[in-house]
Amino acid sequence: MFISFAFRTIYGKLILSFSIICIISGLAAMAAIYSLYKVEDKISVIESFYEINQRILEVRSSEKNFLLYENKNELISTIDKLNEIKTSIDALETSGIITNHNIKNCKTEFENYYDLIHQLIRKDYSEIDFNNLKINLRAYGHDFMNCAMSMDSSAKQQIERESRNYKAIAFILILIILPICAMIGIFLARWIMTPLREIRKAVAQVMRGELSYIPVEPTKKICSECAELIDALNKMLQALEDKHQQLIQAEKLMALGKVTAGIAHEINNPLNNISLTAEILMEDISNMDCDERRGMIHDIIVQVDRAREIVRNLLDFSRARKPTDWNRVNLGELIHNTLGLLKNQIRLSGVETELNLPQEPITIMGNSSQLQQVFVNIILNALQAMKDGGKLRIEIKAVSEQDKAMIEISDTGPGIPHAVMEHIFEPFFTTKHDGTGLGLSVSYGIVKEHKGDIQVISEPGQGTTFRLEFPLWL
Amino acid sequence: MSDQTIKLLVIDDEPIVGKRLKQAFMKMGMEVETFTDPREAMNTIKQKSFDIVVTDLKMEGMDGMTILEEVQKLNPKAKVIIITGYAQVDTASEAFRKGVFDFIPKPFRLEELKNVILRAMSGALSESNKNI
Repeated sequence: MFISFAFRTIYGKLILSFSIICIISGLAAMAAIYSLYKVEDKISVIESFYEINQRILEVRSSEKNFLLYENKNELISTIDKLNEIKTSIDALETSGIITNHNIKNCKTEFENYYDLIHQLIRKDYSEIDFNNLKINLRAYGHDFMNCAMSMDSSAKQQIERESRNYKAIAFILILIILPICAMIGIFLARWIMTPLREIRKAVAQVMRGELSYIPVEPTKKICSECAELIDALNKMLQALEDKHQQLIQAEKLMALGKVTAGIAHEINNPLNNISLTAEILMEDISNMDCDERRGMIHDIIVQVDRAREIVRNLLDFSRARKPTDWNRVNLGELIHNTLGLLKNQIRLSGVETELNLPQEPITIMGNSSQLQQVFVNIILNALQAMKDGGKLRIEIKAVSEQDKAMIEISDTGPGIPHAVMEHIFEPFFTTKHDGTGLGLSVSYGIVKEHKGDIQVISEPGQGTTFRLEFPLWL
Repeated sequence: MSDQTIKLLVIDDEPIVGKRLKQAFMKMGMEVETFTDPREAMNTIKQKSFDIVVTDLKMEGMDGMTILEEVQKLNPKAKVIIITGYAQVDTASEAFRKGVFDFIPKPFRLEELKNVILRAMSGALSESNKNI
């Protein structure tokens, strides 16, 4: 349970890594404290050896005085010191710091020396014995001192050896801990960075339009926080997309408003024709021959068709298609319908139109309603630029080497000033009094969604050309 | 005006309008000429005077407003009636300012236009009577 938590979350990984580092440092600290205690023990051993040596020297000097002056008081004064030496040696033996073999030897030497001194103090010996005892006393004293000194030096050697061991242990600990910490560091960085890098890559792809969402799967297993982050980012992308679609729809309503007024007027013409024809027909029906009547009825039918066509164009444009509703779009047909929709505006502005379409249809994949919105915006802008008349040229061609469809919409207006040019696709940028500054920015968004490109070629006084490119549907 | 025949000129780029108005007003005894191209109509106006000019407003090549101005320059007595599908308050008031006789939005009933033309005719006739 904890293991899976630890490996699936950044939080868990951090906790796990820090726990490992804490445990290792704790162990190292404990080892260091243990070594310090040991060294302290050794120091106390060295101190007690120093004391033992000191006492032995004092005992030996008393022994020397006794041999020279045969004053027994000198011997009696050694008893206390000898007892002290015995306690110290016993303490050393129980502490177990010095190897037993040496201590045992020294203890026997000590017992011999100690017994001899007692014998001499008790005086239960003959004159000859006394001389022997005196010789023995020197020999035993010398032996005991030698033994103590060898014990001292061997203990010192042992302590030096052991402290070298502690140094080695410390080095080994460093050698083990450093790579472990380095490895934890590297793994931690990789664990945390890898999913973050994945997210960054996916976000870049989303911005380039190669992905619409950040995939959760690759990071889900190793980083549940990342999965949550991706989830939140995806929700944000969805919200942005919704807002974008709302903006497109709102902009479309505005374009529709501009177009509708023109369309309403446009319908008056066929209506007027129908009304006039029907009235004359009614008045004169008795004076007309069959062919005349038939001709006038035919006129009425043609005018009804014309009105129907106008209404159909408007309905096609106004119909709220789902943004996901993508189909094959015949660009020539779409441009033709758009020109029909804007016929009235074109006529009002007194602009001449030139349409260059290739023989074979050029189709792309897209949302025809949104694409028409783009064309309506660009053509309305062109018409506004040509208030005093001009020529609207629309050319559609396929650039087959690049598998692209190209649409050029040119006007002969005053062109776009350089200062304005760099802002024309920015939202809310407008040079018109009644403009919202949304037309071209929304058009740009729609073109980009269609994996297309939009370019403006304009020189002041030379007119303006909008060049749109879309991937061909083959 | 030697004879009392009223000369009517109809300019509209919708051919049906010309055709039907010609039918209707010839029957009323007028002399009717129709044009779908305003520039051709202008050429005729320059050579010949008309009593009443009925013109569309928005046409390719020339605006109805320009025709109004030209006709008033050439023949101030002529009455100009504008018929248009693009009737808007500001274009109507502009036309009246320029001296249009009447401004009729399309679609109109034939009766409406007939009444306006009759009014224009009586005006034209009374003016010519005054001259006698």
